[in-house]
Amino acid sequence: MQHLDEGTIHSWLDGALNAEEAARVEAHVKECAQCQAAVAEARGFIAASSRILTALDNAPRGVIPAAVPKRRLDPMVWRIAASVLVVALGSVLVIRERGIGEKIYTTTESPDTVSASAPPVTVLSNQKPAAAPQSANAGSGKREAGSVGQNRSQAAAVATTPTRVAAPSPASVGGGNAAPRQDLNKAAAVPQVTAQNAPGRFEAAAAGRGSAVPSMDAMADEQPVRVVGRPRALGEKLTLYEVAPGDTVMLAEQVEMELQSVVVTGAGVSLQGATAAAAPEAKRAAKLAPTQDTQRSAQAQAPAPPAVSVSFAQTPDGTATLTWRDSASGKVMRLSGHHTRAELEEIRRRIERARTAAADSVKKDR
Amino acid sequence: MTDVERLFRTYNAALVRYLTRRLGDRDWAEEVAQETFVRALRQTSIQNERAWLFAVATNLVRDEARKDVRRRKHLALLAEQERESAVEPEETTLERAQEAAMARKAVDALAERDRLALLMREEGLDYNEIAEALELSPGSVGTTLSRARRRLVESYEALQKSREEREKNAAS
Repeated sequence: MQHLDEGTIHSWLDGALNAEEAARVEAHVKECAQCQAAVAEARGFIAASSRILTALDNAPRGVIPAAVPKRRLDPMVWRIAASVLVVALGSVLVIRERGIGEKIYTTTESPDTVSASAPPVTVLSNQKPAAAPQSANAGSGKREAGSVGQNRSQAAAVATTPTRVAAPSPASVGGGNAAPRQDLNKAAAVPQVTAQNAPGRFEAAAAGRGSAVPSMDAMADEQPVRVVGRPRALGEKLTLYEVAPGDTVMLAEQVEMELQSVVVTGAGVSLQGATAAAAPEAKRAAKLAPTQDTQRSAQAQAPAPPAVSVSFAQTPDGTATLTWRDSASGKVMRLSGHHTRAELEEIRRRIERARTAAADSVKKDR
Repeated sequence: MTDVERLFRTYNAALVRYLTRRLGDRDWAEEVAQETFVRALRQTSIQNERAWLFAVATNLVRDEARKDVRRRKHLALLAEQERESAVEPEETTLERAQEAAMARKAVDALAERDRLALLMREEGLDYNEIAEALELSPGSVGTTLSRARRRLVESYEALQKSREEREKNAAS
């Protein structure tokens, strides 16, 4: 018998030969030293190649870049950068135009507006001087963020108004977490401080809270809420709405008839010390509530909700809850989050609008 | 348990390992494996499941690779260079990374058919299944495998040797 070829040896070692062939190979190998060496070598190759291939099993993931979901941080960084820039620019413009000694109205452009995700809302509603300072409160800031969207032209317009004390809203940052906002505040703070006297503003803030609602109404109209998720929950239908970039709200509709609740989580966003313009002339109170800690602001005396019977409560951890009965469905709704009452009212309205709005508009937003 | 579930449970691990070895990227491998099972869903009947799955997976890779072979090669090369130049904190890790890089090179140096046959064999496919998946004659599988193994081992050893020489030169 001639010597075994390599393929046959491998076939034999791999058990791929039929019984008859295998017996023949075996018999030959027993007697042929050369083929014994070849078999030994083949065994070595088989074992070595298995070992080599095993080294490939620790292959890293993502060697070939796939479509990686973008990290949320990125857009935020841009937003913050944009906001800071805009605030700074706006402040400079206004200061230049009005002079430091005067009351200054500054507008900031919200990153939202830049990104077009949130239509601009007019920050300065035309409230009469008599009206309480507008939106002094924390939550309003967010909306105002959008509103800030009004641009410089508006700022200019405002500037001409006899009473201009609006302060830039820190919230204008629009979306994100508290930290950026605070930075923004700092930036914004400079012009403000020069313009107004701080203590006054804070007092006004407190006062302003009560009156905040109406002004917020006005502002709210243009603010879209969009559905960003539908978490699963037992016995209820949950919908996550984004009321402002980075500010998410949860609407929980209980399947059982009674309770329909809306939960708002806006951790990063609440502005606490809504500051209203101190001066009486500050019709449009500065709405710049610095975003620090929200909880307290909630304690403020909230204005009586415009709608039906609504109750308001707040937990020690700062979560405020607004409860009411939906006029359409008769269901009890609950809205809660780190917001002031006025903000919750506003968010509630926005959500209600969004819910009634055509589904496509929601989709479009996404 | 549906049939596809059973297929998945039975073959997914081997298929992913095969593809990972073939592609050098586990994410990509998993992606292709999933697509393979999706294809299986559409199939009314599959005669030899394992051969079919490996053949489909192989073809998926081939089709995709054909599309942008140059881009992927380039990226794989970059990744490899990065791995090689990376300073690992632990020697064992470095050692392993170097082994993996050499193994990758050695495997990539094989002819496509040899490589696929070998990788399939390592996942337990028998000669008939390999022949079916790769459209070879069963009689040639032994030859294909023996060639693949020899070349793989020889080129790996050559890489090892040149690395040792490099290290020796660097040390002296």
